[in-house]
Amino acid sequence: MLGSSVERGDGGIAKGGMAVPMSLELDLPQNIIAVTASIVGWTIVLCWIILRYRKLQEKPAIWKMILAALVGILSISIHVSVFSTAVKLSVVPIGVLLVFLFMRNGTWSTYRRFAWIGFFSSYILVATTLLGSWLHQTVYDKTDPATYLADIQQVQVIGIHPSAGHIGWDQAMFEKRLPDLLLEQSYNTLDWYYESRPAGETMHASEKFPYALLGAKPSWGSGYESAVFLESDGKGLLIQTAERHYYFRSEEPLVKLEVTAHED
Amino acid sequence: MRIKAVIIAAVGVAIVAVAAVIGYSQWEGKPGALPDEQYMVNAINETYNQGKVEQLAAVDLLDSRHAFVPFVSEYGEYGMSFWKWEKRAWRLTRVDDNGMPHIWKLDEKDPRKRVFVYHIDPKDKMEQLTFYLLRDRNAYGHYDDFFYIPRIQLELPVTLAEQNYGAIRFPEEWAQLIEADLKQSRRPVNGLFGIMFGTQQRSMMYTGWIPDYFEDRVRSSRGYSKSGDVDVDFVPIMNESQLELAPEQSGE
Repeated sequence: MLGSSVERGDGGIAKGGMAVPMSLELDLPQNIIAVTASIVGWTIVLCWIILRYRKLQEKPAIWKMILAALVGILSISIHVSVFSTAVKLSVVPIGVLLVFLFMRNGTWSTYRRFAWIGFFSSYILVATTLLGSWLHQTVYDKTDPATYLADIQQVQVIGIHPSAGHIGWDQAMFEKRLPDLLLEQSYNTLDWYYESRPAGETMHASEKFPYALLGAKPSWGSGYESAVFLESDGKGLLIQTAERHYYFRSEEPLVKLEVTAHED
Repeated sequence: MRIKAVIIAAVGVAIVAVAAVIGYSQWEGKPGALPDEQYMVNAINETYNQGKVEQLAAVDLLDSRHAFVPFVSEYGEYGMSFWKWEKRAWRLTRVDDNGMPHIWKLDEKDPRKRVFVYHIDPKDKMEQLTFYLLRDRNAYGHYDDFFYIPRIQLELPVTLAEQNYGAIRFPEEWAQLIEADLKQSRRPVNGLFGIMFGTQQRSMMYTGWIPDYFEDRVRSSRGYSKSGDVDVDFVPIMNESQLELAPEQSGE
C-alpha cells in the first residue's frame, strides 16, 4: 500500500493498554459535532469536580485534586464499537490504584473521589460521543449526495480508465441535476464487476465508472470524506465512504458527455 | 533542609541538560546549501563498492531537504544517489548502482511528495518510459452490504530524448486519487471481540512502468545492488498484457 501505515490509529484487537481517553476516537477530522461532544464531555467532568470540591468540608489542595483526577483517567481500556461508533471503555482503574498507592496515609480518603471522577470521565465521554454521533447522523444526511458534494467550486473530472471519453464539466449543469439524483437501494456490484472487466482473450474493457470527481468538499463540519466516481453514461454517481458505498442515479446526464469514437 | 534543596536543584539541572542534549540531537536545523560536487563524489565513492564515480549527471534539488544526484561510474554504470538534510547536515542516504525507476517518498504521509526517479543507461536504447498508477477492480455484494471499486489505470509518459535521468513528481490528480483512496480504506471497525474488518479492506493502489525501446530487443536483466534508505521503493516493470485497453469499436 502506498504508505498509509502512519494513518492507522489503534488497529488493535480489543486490546488492553494504558490509555488516556483524551481523543475519543475522533476518526472524522473536522467533525464539528464530535469535537463539540468531546468539549461538552470534558466540561461535565470539570463541573463534577467543582461540585464535589464545593461539597467537601475540609478543602483539599487544588493542584493535588486535579492531579488525582488526571491520574485517575489512566486505565486499561477496551475498544468497542457501539452503534458503529468506535469508543474506548475504561475497565481496570490503574490510575485510581496509583493514587491509592501514593496517598495511602489519610489523604487517600480526600482524594479518592477525584481519582474515581477521573476514571468515570471515560464513561461520560463515551456518552457524549454517542450522543454526538447520533446527532451527527441526524444533521448530515448520509444518503444525500449533496452532503458529500456541498462545495464543488474546485471540482475536476478526470478519466481514470482507457475507456473514459471526453467529459465536458459544467458546474451549473451539475448543480442543477444534483437534486435529481436518487439513491439506488439495490444493485448488483458483482454484475458491474463482470461487465467492466476484460472479456475473453483481449484486455479490452469498458469500466462502468471510468471517471473520478476530484476536489469536492463535503458539508461544513460533517467531516465526511468520500471518493466520488461517475458512471460511463454520466447518469450515475458512486460515492465511497469508509463506512459504505452509495450509488445514485439520475434521469439525465450530470455532465456533458461527448461520445467519441476510440481510434485505435 | 539545605541539602535537600541542593539535590532538587541538581536533579533539575540534570533533567534540563539531558533534555537539551536530546533536543539538539533530534533537531533538524534549517536546511543549508548543498555540499559541493567533489564532496558528493567522495561520499558516493565511500558507499559505492562498484568502482569510482566518473561524473555527476546532475544535482537536482527536489525540495529544501532532498536532492537527487544521478551519476555515471568509471565502468559506465548509470547510478543514482539520494541526499537528505537530516539533523543539521546533508547526508547521503542511499546509492543505487543503476538507475531503474524508483519512487522516493519525500514525505511518507503526503502523496504529493512522491517522486519518480530514474537514470537510464543510453545503451539500453530506451526511447520513452511510461509510469502507471493502478488499482484493481474489485466488488463485493452480500445482502445490503456491497461495494464496488472501479479500476484505475492512469499513465504518465516520459520521453528520454532530452535527458536520460529525471525526478518527476506524482501529478496532482494522482495524489488526489491516492488521498481519497487512503481515506476510504483507513478504518477497520473495532468490535468487542477484535477487529471486524468491514468489507472495506479492498484494492490498493500501486505503480509500475513500461519501457519503449528504439529497436525491438529483449533486455537482459542486470544485477542490481543498493545500499540504504527505506523511503525509496522499487517500481516494478510491467507487461503490456497487464494493462486494460479501451473497448474495441464494433465494426458495422
